[in-house]
Amino acid sequence: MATGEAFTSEQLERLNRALELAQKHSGVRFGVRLGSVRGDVRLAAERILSTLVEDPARDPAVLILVSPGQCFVRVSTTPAARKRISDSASGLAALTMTSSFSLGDLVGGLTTGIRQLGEAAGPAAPGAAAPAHPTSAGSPASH
Amino acid sequence: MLHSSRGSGVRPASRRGTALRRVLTVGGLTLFALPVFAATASAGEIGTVYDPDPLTALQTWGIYGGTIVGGFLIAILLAAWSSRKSGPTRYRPGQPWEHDEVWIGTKPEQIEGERAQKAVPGAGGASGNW
Repeated sequence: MATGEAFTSEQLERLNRALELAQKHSGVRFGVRLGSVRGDVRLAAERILSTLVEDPARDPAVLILVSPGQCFVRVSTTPAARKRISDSASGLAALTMTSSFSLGDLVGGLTTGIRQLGEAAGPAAPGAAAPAHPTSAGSPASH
Repeated sequence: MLHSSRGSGVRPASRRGTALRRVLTVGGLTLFALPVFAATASAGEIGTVYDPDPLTALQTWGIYGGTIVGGFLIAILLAAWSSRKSGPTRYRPGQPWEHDEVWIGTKPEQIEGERAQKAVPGAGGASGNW
């Protein structure tokens, strides 16, 4: 299915940097997945989100699900993250991202959206450790 | 306040690629330009400024047409070579996404402990289309 890499190493580096900064700033775990989604988008996003953290009710996490082929983006927040990132803030980030995506700028839209969500979450509580972030981001995975 | 991640360091591989492209470009242009400039050395064979020998049709086409056509050919070859060597194609809205799934951040498979996918009551968020 793949016809080459989706992003250059520089683009992946930019995305990783934005994600790391947002996580470090907010203490919220962020995840971005690009690819097609079958069925109910919202449900699919929640199911993937549930695998990012141990207890979604307690642990804050945000998943940005983007399907460039189907032209949609879904920002999904765990109940713990929702207390810090309101649905309207998520909507604003989604709007920012779709504005860039409609011009073909996936990387710019994602970095801006991630940064916006990190800002909306606010700074991490003192003493709270930033979520671990393995350095293998950007590699294709099969589900 | 978060800082911008733009302008991050360029990898050595891409730097090498850029340097190689530059060297090849300069080399190609030199190979083309040298014979053209050297042609002036043979100006004595075609007479003097005051009494020039007439150019044949072939020479005329070679000088005035060949230079232009050659320039275009070099430009086309360089552009074709450069586009073949370039990275991923740019995403264009409305066209199918023909790539494998890409994860930025922690993949669920890499997180310690097997976690089953489940619904998350009380989850929030928003959607958007373009």
